[in-house]
This record gives sequence, structure tokens and C-alpha cells, in this order.
Amino acid sequence: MIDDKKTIGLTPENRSVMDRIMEKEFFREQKDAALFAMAYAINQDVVAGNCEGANTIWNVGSLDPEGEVRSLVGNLFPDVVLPYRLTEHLINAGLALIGARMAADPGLDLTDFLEKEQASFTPQ
Amino acid sequence: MLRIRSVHLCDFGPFKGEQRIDLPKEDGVVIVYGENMRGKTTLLNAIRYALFGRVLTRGSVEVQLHQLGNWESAADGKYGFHVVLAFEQNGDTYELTRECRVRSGVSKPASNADYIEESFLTKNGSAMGPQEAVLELGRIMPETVSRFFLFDGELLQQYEELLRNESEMGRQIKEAIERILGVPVLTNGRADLAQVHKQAQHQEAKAAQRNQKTQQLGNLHAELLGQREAMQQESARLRQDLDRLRGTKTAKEEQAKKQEMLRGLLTLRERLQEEINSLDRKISEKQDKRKTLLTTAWRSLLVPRIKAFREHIEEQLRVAREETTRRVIHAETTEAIRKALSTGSCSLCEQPVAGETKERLQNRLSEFEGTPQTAASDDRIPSLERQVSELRRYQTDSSIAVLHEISGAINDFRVTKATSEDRLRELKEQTAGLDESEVRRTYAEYEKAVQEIVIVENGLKEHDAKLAEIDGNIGRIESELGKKGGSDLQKERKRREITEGLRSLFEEGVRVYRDHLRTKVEKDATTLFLDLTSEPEYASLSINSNYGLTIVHKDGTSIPVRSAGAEHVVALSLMGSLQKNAPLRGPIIMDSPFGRLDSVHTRKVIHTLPNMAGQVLLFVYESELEPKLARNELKGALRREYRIERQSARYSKVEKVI
Repeated sequence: MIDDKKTIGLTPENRSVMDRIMEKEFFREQKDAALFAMAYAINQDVVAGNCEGANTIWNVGSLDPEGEVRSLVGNLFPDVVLPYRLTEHLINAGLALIGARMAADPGLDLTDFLEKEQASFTPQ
Repeated sequence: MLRIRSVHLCDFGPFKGEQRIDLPKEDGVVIVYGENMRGKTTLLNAIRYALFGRVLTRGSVEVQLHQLGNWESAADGKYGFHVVLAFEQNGDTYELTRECRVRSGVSKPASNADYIEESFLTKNGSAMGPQEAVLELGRIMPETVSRFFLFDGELLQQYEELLRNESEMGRQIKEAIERILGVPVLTNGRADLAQVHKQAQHQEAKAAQRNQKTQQLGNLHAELLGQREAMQQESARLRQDLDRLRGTKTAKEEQAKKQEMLRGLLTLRERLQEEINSLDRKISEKQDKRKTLLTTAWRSLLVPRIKAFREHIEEQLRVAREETTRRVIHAETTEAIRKALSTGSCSLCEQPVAGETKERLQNRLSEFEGTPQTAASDDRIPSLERQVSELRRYQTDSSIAVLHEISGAINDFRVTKATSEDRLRELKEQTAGLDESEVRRTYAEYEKAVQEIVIVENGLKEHDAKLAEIDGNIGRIESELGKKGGSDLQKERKRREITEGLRSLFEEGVRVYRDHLRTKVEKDATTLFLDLTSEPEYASLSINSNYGLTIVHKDGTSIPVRSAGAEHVVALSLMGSLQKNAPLRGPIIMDSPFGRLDSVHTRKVIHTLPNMAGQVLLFVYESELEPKLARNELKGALRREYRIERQSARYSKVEKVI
């Protein structure tokens, strides 16, 4: 049996996206931005997968001290047996998507982003 | 009465070579027309220079002699200038020459040091000695009161300062007014008598000390007089300090006025910088609040999805619970039928089970047993319930509206900040070459002088109170001495009482004379003002203790704020009234007096001018006073017209018109 991940990392490209997000002074900590990216990826119906080439940034204990991320991922993706591996994948996929949007619109306001994402959700 | 007969200039300002203005002997008005930059103010300055040996700018800065000569002549290698003023006073004729020539050995003068200045005064054709000439000129036209004879229309607004009690400029003008009205004749007499009285007191003390009976009181009297003397010296020193500080305050005030624009820019710069700092703080606060809200933003983002998913699970839970309920009912019903068939009685309704009923129940039992029930749903319910419970944890209040408000506010602050930063950049460029430290120093020195004035004034008040106490004690001792002593003491006492009485008389005289003057000045200024103003609802002028004049409406209320034009008219009324009430009479020589007046007021002032002084000399530009209007209004009172004609930018010529 494969053990789930103990650390979560970002790819070098996503690390640079993270820096750009943090410069905009929206998030107090990088982990807040990482979870925001994860949620965005979930909303974008990113398919489950693995992330390759990520360098460690957080211990899962610091990223998810209450275990609520693991629980949520477990609930939303019942077939997944390694929720933190998926979490890492979702964070990186979300950052890549946000990075692309920021490149297209440098003045992107993440507050607008939040509103549009909520409004555009259609239950399946 | 002083009457100017001619002004003769040579290479003074733009007036190249020898030029001359002759003024008629009769009362009336002479007008010199000249457009801007032709030399009207220079003519006024030439008269000032001849009389007082110096020229001041509108900002009261003394003009360097080196700058007064004609530039074209200087370019031709001819330096220096002179002014000759011919005038009459009480039947005597005078000719005053003031000359500024280059020192021998200097080929190209560069500063005042390269010039020699000389002046000569003749009276009825005879030359006067230098000291005698200075005294004579000081008597004919003291510089301290010249502001009421030679004035610049642009500076008339200074008279508004008389309405401000704390104004240093107002204090100076008040002093000048009292001087022209002759108040110093009485105040000087009062000061002299105070000195004589003091001497008499000392004499009385000495006489008391000589007598054995009064020796003790005499000693005390002498001691108190000595104390008072020391206190008075200290008071005089404090008053000198106060005068010096007031002078510093005025100088710094003037300097600050000149630096006002720069100080305004610097203040604006500081304000903008503070504004930017404050906006930075506000942006930072809002960002911090947004960061707090965005800590849970990932949940907010998933709210719709989690809600839909939770509702899906809740549906599954509902179905599972229904299945379980159905299965339980099925099992219980089957068991009840079995029991009824075996016992022949229904345990629920307690009716016998037989015949048709028994047959129906047997058929129903067969049906039930043919449809087996599974307990799968029972197993799913706990996990579904746990899932629902977990998903409920992700419910969060959507803070989008608040986030929106915060982001909007941050954007607004940033726009305001960018605008302020642009303005600040411009201001920094504008003030780049300016000496900020000097402006700040001037302001700091001004503030320091103001603070020191308050300290010295308070010190003086305390001093005066102590002096009054000592005076009281001296009075009591003098009263005691009055009851004792021999003939020697009585003689000194009599002398002291006479001097005291005289001093009190002059004291009262000063007060009565001032009140009398104020009443007369107010009355005459009102008469002139009503002739000059075009506003029919204005009833009079009211004078304050500083000779400041306030316009009074016919309903009795004072007009608190007045326009520059009204200020001008009030100042002219005061001028005319002072001329009328002053022991010293002379010409009124005005530069640009109508610049702030409309045509109605200009006409009225022109019409009134011959009543304000015997001789009036005006330096005006044509759009300020049209020659036709002047001729129509003045008629025979217009004695002569001159025009300053341009020859080149640095050469003007005065020509007689009529």
C-alpha cells in the first residue's frame, strides 16, 4: 500500500505564480493562496492526478492542521485513496490556471475572481 | 504748508539726461500720465530720494543706489544721477539737491561703495550747513509721516491693519498718525514733566533726610525712589527689548510674506506627503482586513459545489433511511401475520383470525415472504450521516460583499494616492531649486519672536504692577511727610506737588487731545467717505483707538468685511481727514491710486481730490484715469498735465501736455 504525502510542494513555474499572487497583497500567507488555488481547480473540474516535479513548501500538518482539506478532498473525490497527493495536484493545477489568467489580465482582482467563480457554478 | 514747485531729474531711473516737472503755485491737481514700466513710480521715488536719501520698494526693501541710475547713460559710460527738488514752506523757498556721483578712480562702478552721495539745501537762495539742513528737512517733512504725503495706491490696503489690535504694522501706522496729528508735542511734554516730578521727589526725600524728625521716613522715601528708579530702568530695558522683538517680528513677517508662495508650496508638499502616508496606512489596514477574510476564501469558493454535493448526499441518506424504515415495517408486519395465524388471534386488533380473514392473511404472508428485504441501506446510513456532518463544516458565510467593498475602497485609495503622488512630483520639481531651510528658519524666527513678545509683555505687566505698588508706597510716605517737617521740607513738598499737578495735567491733556483728534478724524473721514462711496446705505465711519475706520451701515451695524476697493476708499478718507487735522500740511502725491476702483468711485475720488489737499500730484496710467474724465471732473482745478513718453525700454521722457 502506498502512503499518502507528508509534504506538499509547488513546481518552479507555480512558485513564480505564487510570488506574483503574494505581491498583490491579497493573502497573508502562501498557504491561504495555495488553498484558494486548490478550490479554484476543484471548481474548474480538474481531473484527479499527480503532480510531478514539485519542491516541498509545506508539511501537511501546517497546511491542514485540522485535517479538513483531507476530509473535503476525500468527500468530493470518494475514489481517491491518497487525498494529500491529490491536494498537491489540485494546488499546482489551480496555480497554473490562475497564473494563465493573471498573464492575460495583469490587473486581475481576486475578489472579482471569487464572485465570478461562485456565480458560474452549475451543479451536475 | 509745504508746496513742491519743481522736480528736476538727471539720469534717474528711466529718465535719461536732464528732465523737469514744474508744478504751479496755485492750489489744484497735476496729473502725470504714463503706461506701465515708463517710470511713474520712479518719479515718486525721485521725490522720496531727494527728501530722505533713500528709496524703498513696495516690500519696504531699500533699493541700492547703484541700481537707481539710468541704464542707457551707464551703457554710454556715464554713471551717477541727481535730483533737485524746489519747494516752498511758510513763505520761504528751498532748493534741495541730492547727488550721487562716482568716486574718483572708479571707471565702472559695481556697488554702492563706488559712489559718493551729497546733498545741498538752500533757503531763500542761501546755502544751509549740513546739520542745519538735516534739522530743517526733518521739520518740514519728517520721514516718519511721509506715508501720508507720498504714497503708493497699491499700499493703501495696509491701513486695514489699524483694525487689528495685535498688528505690528497697525502699531507703526498708529504711531505715524499720532505724529502727524501732533500728539508727540503733548506726550514729550508729559515725559519731561515726569522727569521733573521725579527730581522734585528726590529733593523732597533729601530734605526729609536732613531733618531729624523725618529722617527715618526720608530714608525710606529715598530708598523707595531708588527702587522705583531701578524698576523704571528695567522697564525701559524691557520696552526696548519689546521694540526690538516687535521689529524682528515685523521684519520676519515681511520676509515671510515674500516667501509666502514658497511656503505655500512647501506646506502643500508636506500636506500631500501626509495625505499619501495616510492613504498608505488606510490601504494597509484594508489589505489586512481583506487578508483575514481571504484566509477562508477557499471555502467560500467551494460553497456552491459543497452545498450541491451535500444535498446529493442528503438525498442518498433520505433514500437509505426510507429503505430501512420499509424493511423494518416489512419484518414487523410479517412477524405479526405469522403470530396471528399461529395463535388464531390478531395481537393488534384482538379480533379472532379465521375463515376468510385467515385465508387473506396466509396469502399476504406468502407475498411478503416472496419479497426478501436487504439490510444494505442500514450499513450506508452512518457513513452518509458522517459525510453530511463533515460537509456541513465547510458551510461559511459568503464575505464577497465585504471583500468587494474593501477592494473598491483600496482601489479608490490607490487612485487618490496616484493623483497626490503626481501633484507631489510636480511640487518637488517646482521647489527643487528653492531654499526650504531659509523659509522654515524665517517662520521659526517669527514664531520665536512672537513667543518672546508674549513673555516680555507679561514681564512688563508684572513690572508695571510692582511699580504701581511702589508708587503707592511712595504716595503714602509723601502723605506722612506732608504732616511733618520744617519749612525746607514744605518748600520741596510744594515743588513736588506743583510738578505732580503739571504732569497729571499733561496726562489728562494727552487723553483729551487724543479723544478730540479721534472725534475730528472720524467726523472728517466720514464726510469724505460719504462723498467718495457709491453705496447709499453706508451712513458713516467709526474710529477705534488705533485710528482704524469701520464702515457703519445706516441701520447702525458695522460692515465686518470689505472689498479691496472699499478698503481703498476708506484709506483715502483717512488720508484726507489726517491732512485736514494735521498741524503739518503738505501735498498729496499718489502713484496708481485708482487701480482698485471702478469708474464711479474713480470719478468721485477725482471730484473730491481738490478738497483733500492744496496740492495734489497724481501718477496714473490712462486706463486707470481717462484724461477726458479728469478734465471734466476737475475743470479749473486741473492745473497741468504731463505725459511720460517712451523713447526706448530704458529711456523715458516727461513732456508737458497742458
